[in-house]
Amino acid sequence: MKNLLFCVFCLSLFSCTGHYDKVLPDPAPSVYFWRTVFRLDPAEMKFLRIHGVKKMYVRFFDVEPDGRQQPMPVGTIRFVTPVPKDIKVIPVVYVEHTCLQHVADLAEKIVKRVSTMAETNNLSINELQIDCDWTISTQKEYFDLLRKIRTMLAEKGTYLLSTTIRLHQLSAEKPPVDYGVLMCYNTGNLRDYQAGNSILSEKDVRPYLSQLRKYSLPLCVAYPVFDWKLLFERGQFRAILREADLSDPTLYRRKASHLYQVVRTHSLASPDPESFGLMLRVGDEVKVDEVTASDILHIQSLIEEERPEIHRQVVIYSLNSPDINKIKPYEMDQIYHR
Amino acid sequence: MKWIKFIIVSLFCFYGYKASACVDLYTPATCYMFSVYNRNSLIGDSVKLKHIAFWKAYTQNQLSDKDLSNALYGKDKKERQLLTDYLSRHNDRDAFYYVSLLASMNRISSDNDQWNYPTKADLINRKKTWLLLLKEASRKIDRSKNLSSRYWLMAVRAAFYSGNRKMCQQLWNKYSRKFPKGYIKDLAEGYQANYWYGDGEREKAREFYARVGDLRSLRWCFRNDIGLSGIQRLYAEAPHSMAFPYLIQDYVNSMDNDRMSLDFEEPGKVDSIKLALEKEMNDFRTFASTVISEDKVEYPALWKSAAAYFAYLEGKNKKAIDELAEADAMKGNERMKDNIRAIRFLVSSATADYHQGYDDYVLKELHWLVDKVKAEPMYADWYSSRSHYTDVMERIVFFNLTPGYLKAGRFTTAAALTGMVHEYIDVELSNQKHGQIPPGSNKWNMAQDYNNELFDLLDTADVKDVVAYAALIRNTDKGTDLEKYAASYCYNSSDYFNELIGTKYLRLEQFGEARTYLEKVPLAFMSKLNTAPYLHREVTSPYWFAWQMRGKLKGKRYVTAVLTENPKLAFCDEMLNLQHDFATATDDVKKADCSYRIAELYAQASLTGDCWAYLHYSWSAYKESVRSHSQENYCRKAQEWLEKSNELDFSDANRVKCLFALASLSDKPWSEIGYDENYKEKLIYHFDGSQAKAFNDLYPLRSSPAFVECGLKKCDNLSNYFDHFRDFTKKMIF
Repeated sequence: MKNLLFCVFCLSLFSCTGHYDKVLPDPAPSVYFWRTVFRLDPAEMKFLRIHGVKKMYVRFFDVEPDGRQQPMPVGTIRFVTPVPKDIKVIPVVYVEHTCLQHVADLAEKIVKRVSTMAETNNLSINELQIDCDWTISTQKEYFDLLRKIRTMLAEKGTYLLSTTIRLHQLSAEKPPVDYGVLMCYNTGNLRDYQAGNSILSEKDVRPYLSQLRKYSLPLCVAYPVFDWKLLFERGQFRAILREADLSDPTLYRRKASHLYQVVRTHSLASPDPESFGLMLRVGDEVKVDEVTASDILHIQSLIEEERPEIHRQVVIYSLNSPDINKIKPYEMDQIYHR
Repeated sequence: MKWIKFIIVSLFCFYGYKASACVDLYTPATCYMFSVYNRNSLIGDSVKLKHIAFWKAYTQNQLSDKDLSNALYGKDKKERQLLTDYLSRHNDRDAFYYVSLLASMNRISSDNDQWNYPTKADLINRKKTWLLLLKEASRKIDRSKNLSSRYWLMAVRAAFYSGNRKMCQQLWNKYSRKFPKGYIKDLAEGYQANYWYGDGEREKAREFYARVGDLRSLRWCFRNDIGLSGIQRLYAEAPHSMAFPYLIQDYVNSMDNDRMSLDFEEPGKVDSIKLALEKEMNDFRTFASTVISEDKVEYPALWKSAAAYFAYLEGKNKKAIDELAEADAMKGNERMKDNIRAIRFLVSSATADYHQGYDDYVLKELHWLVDKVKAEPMYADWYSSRSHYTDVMERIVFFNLTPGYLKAGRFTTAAALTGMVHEYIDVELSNQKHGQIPPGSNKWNMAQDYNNELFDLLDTADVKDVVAYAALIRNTDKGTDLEKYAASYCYNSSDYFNELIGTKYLRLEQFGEARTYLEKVPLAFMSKLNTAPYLHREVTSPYWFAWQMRGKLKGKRYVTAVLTENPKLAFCDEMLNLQHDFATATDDVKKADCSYRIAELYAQASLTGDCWAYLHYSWSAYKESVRSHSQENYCRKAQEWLEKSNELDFSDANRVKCLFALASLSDKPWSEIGYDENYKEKLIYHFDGSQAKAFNDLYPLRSSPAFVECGLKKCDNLSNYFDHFRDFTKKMIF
């Protein structure tokens, strides 16, 4: 009897891990690629190589409402260099939640466009991820969209469908997908001048940890390596700054460890040729939120207590030279659990 | 001593407000003083309009702009039907072929359905089409009689988009000298500029964009060179760069605007920002000095004048004038020299002592500015029609000359200059008319005549100054040469000034003087005032009992009909009569009655009353700004006359009315809603306030017949006070 019980116990353990493997074939170190031009520089290629990255979740396009509130694709990626051969590409489509009112043919459009993009750019795909910041009020529409997408993908063959899961969504019903990527970043409110680190903070993560254990959708997790500079005008959030050299004393004065004041009105160039850039005025403030390896490792340890298997696949957000070089290789390996 | 400091600071703030309140913080007048290139000429007709204009002439005006637009930019046969039919009728095969090639190009250039992503087949097809276009258009360049340059442009474009760089450049090299200057050639060159920039020939690309006025591309080219460090980098790379006028102009104007915006910043933030600004301006001045000494730049006058401008911004006006003189002697193009002259005018106006000799200089420079305004095309923006030189006029007159002349005690000169600039720029050049609401603006208080720099000046000035100004512009022989010149541009409607002066006397309670002006104003003019719809209200209905007469008063709140009498004039007559009655009354009861009626009139015409439009040309929920603007004390006067009435007649009937009226006019209610430290609502009591005092005095009268006849039992505010008072006294007793 004891032997029988022991066998049952081992089988159940095995089935837990086996189930995870069944849903997520080949869990591997992964990255998100979120730029609109696919071009890898030597540092990025090196990163992929030394950390054995095998999967790249690549944002293909966003879906946002146009002037007539119709969902439209924007920010479509352009492939300038080929994807490394040994890396699997998983297209990601971000859907602005206001577009969920027009689900009728949205699923078809998304699947068709993703397929055409893959074919035109010689990418072999068998998986799709949808990213959306849905809430209880838009849950029904979002889940409908996912079901429709899943049906269409099934017609094409064997496809996996995944979605991003934000911390606040852990308390909601699980979406009809094969697995989720828990977004362990943007945990705070970046628009709040008084908030602490809006990228990753234990204070923001802790309240959701108890829900993690009960959440039944298979999960892997994504961690941030980026930082951002948030522009505030009289305490009101205005923009995320992409290019701002805060070390320039003719433009900025450091007020505190993560806070700078604009001392000269100037424009920051925008890569968008239609834009003259963002105007920063005298008196505006720039708040810097950044994340270190030890911040990530600490959060990982908290999460692991609730969900040990979640780190079988870790996704880094995102593959971008300035960001990935901030973390030392051995620290990155620790984050990847290698 | 703190109250002295408060008064001084308040006066300073008020002066600062008056000096620079005339314009918004970020109007063109505050942002674009330094001008070595005409930024407004870069706002021109689009290429599309030029194409349409060409084909309109080609088809001898037989087709509308819309038809041509559809034909030239559409994709299918139906859209170009009218044009192709025309070309067929005229047997113009060449143009017919060109238009068909154009349609092919349009089909692959843009896709109306954003959801479409090109398949491999689409990409192949596009490339094939571009190559076909390249071949066919190239073939027709030398053969086409009338459309050679257009075929050339099409071929260049096709080469570019098919990735055939060599061919694109060959086409340019072969034909660019053949075709004349114009927008077709500029468009073709634009593709070369793209290559130049990518190849590192950045200056060559910048020169091109600067020449054609493609400010967007130009700014993109030097997007990393903005600011002093950018200018220094560019100088090291290309001392002769075409970009310097653009860079330096943007740079100087941004520094100027930052420096000016400090006046509007909170005091705590100013010092560190000011220090940083001054350091940078000094760094630029040092750098400019080096640049000039190295003698590599084409226009040293540009650098010197920029440095001089920074000296002015730092308050070193004498230095600025000296350096401007040096800049004037250096090499610069005509616009740079004009810029120096404009800045010299600005700097001198900041420090002049405004004696007669200076008038001659101002007169000369104004003549010059007006000539410059006439010579440069205007453009329309959110504010009005304007050009660089109208901005200069506004900056110099509103920010320097007007305050300067005011400070020197020369109101009429200040007003004439302000009037001139306003009338010339905002009315004449903008094709506005007096007495009209500008299209699109709020009908309420935005009439041109009561919302401008001149009106602000006149409305807040001493009435005697306004009388003198009105006399000047009606009879310019009395003025100085400068005043005569400025006044010749000014609005000189006698109705406008009679009405304004009469109202100013009305505010000062000089009803006789007010009358002499107001009686000259025709009803037609009164009915066109921006506040005319509010002038139909009843001034004799007591303000404090208005809540009892809502139904009666409702229909008169906003009436757009023509006035049948001048209510301001009627008000003067009523006041004069009552004052006479008061003076001649022999018994106190009659005097009390007169006092009460006078108080009624004062209250209704005050900012708080229904007839605020008698004394004001605008009304705001933020009453303090309007009250201080318009120098009237009608509310306080009403209170004084009520107190007088109360003292003269002790009868319950009179006391009830007066006390209730005083309570209604109080600026401190007995209770109001406030917030605690947790931002929860709570009631705040002011038992020491005048309303509480008046209500207190009413309490013993609450059972009198007069109290009932006045309907005060229905006043909730009063009832609540009594209830509270009763509870309070009960607690006191116990």
